Amino acid sequence: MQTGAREAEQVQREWRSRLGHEAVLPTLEPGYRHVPLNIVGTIKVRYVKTERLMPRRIIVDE
Amino acid sequence: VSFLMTPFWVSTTGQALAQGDLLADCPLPVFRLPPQNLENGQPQDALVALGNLIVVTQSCDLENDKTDFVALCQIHALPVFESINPEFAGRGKWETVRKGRVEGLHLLASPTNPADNREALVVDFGMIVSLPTEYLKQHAERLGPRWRLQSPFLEHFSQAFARFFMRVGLPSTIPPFT
Repeated sequence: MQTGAREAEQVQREWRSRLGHEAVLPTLEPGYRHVPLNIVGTIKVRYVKTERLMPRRIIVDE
Repeated sequence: VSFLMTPFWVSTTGQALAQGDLLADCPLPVFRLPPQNLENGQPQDALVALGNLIVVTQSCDLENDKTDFVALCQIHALPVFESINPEFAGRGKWETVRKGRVEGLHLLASPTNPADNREALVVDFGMIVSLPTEYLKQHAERLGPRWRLQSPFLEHFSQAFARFFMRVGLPSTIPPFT
């Protein structure tokens, strides 16, 4: 079963227990699978501390 | 059967980006897992994917440099999509997409052969990536001649994206009329 279908069933179960009937949901089950990203390689990244609110930034070495 | 069609796309070049720009072979970093041992400062490997992407950020935001990042979706040739979703090769599936009944997908005619529906392209709204504007501008320029979706196909595309994003789930509804 696809992840989307499992999520949809779980949400339906929750709503059913609260409402006593099926909920009408947006399309949690998209009816298709995403085409996976075409991974072609790797890059080196280095994580360094920063003084900013977000604790770290990423330096792409190459 | 052949018939004349208004072209969906216009050729463009240069750095200027607009909604509906098709950016082929765009390298994008992919972080599958959180980084390990952040403190040691050692370089770590991150995956790189090549994506065929179409811009979904609004043109007015791009023109006025209002955004540092651009949102894009993957766009596929039908055989590529069918290789992952074999049921779409069957009768009637693409017709439901063409009629706008599959919220996450949107069909666009081929830039070079619009009358052949098998050469159409499909956009997957369910997989959105965001990349720095400056990075994309340079990639766009490096591509040379590239395709830009033109009006009114652009607005139709934009509306389909909006419709996908603004879906609302209801806890209950009026019972169906049967």
